[in-house]
Amino acid sequence: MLKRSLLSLVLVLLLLSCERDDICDLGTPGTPRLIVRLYDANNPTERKSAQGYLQEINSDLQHSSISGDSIAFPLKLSTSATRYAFVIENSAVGTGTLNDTLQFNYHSRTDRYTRRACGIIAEYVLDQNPITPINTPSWFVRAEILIDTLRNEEQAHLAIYH
Amino acid sequence: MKNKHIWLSTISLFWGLYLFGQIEGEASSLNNTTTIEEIVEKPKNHLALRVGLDIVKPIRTQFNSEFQGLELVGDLRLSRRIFVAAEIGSEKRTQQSELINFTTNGSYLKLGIDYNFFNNWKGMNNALYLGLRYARSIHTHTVNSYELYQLDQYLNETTASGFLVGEREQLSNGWMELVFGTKVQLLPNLYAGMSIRLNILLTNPQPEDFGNLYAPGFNKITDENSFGAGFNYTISYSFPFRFKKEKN
Repeated sequence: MLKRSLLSLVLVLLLLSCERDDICDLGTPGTPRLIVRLYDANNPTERKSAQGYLQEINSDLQHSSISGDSIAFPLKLSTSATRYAFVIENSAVGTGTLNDTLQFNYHSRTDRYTRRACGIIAEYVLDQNPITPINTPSWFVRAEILIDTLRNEEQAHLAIYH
Repeated sequence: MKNKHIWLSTISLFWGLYLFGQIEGEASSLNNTTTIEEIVEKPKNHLALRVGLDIVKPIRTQFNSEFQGLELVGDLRLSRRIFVAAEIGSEKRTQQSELINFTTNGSYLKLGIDYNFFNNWKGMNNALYLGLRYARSIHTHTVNSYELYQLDQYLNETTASGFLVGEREQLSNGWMELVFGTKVQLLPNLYAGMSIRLNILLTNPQPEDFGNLYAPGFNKITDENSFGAGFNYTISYSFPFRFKKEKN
């Protein structure tokens, strides 16, 4: 009787030791993406939406669509520059699209351990000159840094005037 | 899957040995009943030092290139029921935790007592025991490689490592173990033993820029839970001895 109760006690304690933290829940922030807010170049205090999509260089697929006045997209973290093609539907002309390839520049990547299930994420800092247009820009006018260190996705990091 | 097989084989092996031990024990007890003098003359001195080896770790070392380990076990019988017990071991283990590959290298010492609540027949020396240990480890983690945790990637590029690769400072965990185990006499001085352990973490220091995800002897450490579990399967040899008494 004693043996049996001790055995069951041990088994119960072993069951108690089951863990629950093996999944990184979706709400946990990963490595922050760059968050860009779109403003009107003629009226810098006003936000201005755009319609279109983002395309990675050397890729035929669109990475994500652009709609509204803010965009979030990841940067390549093994280098210090990432190029994206911004394909914007030109509302003024009607049918055509504007195609700007922009290079985003950043530096000082630091990696940070979070916890077992989520692993390691990176932080990085935007260059003083955050955007270099690769072709002559037709849509992009200028950019302005709002927060230079990309630590989280809570606020926009960069403003693009168009 | 692999673990499951290890468990199954250890358990089946253990039961085989256990039954074998029972038969042996019955045989020897039958022999003993034939010569009553022997029972009467049985020394009242209980002291016996038993030393042995965990056999799972060397086997795992053979078959798993990412694991090296050794554990020596010992106990000293103080009375019919009470044993002072210790385990000392060393481990080097490489493992993958989500996107991080790391190696833990270190050793541990566990010290405590066992209480044998098995009522042996005359001539048998089996044990079914409950024990308590205080254990400490000294270990270091080395991050070998990792990928960044990203919810969205440029061209599905996985970002390789760099910055956090390397060895971390030395850590020392302390924990208590609740042990439930058995030792079965196979031959007059040879024992096979098995134990399962519930570990309760007492101190859990964290290294800089990494987590203390594993401790030798304790095994996996989770973030929100101070419990862990372990087991061992031992073969040990008993050296009975007695202190010389001054003759009057």
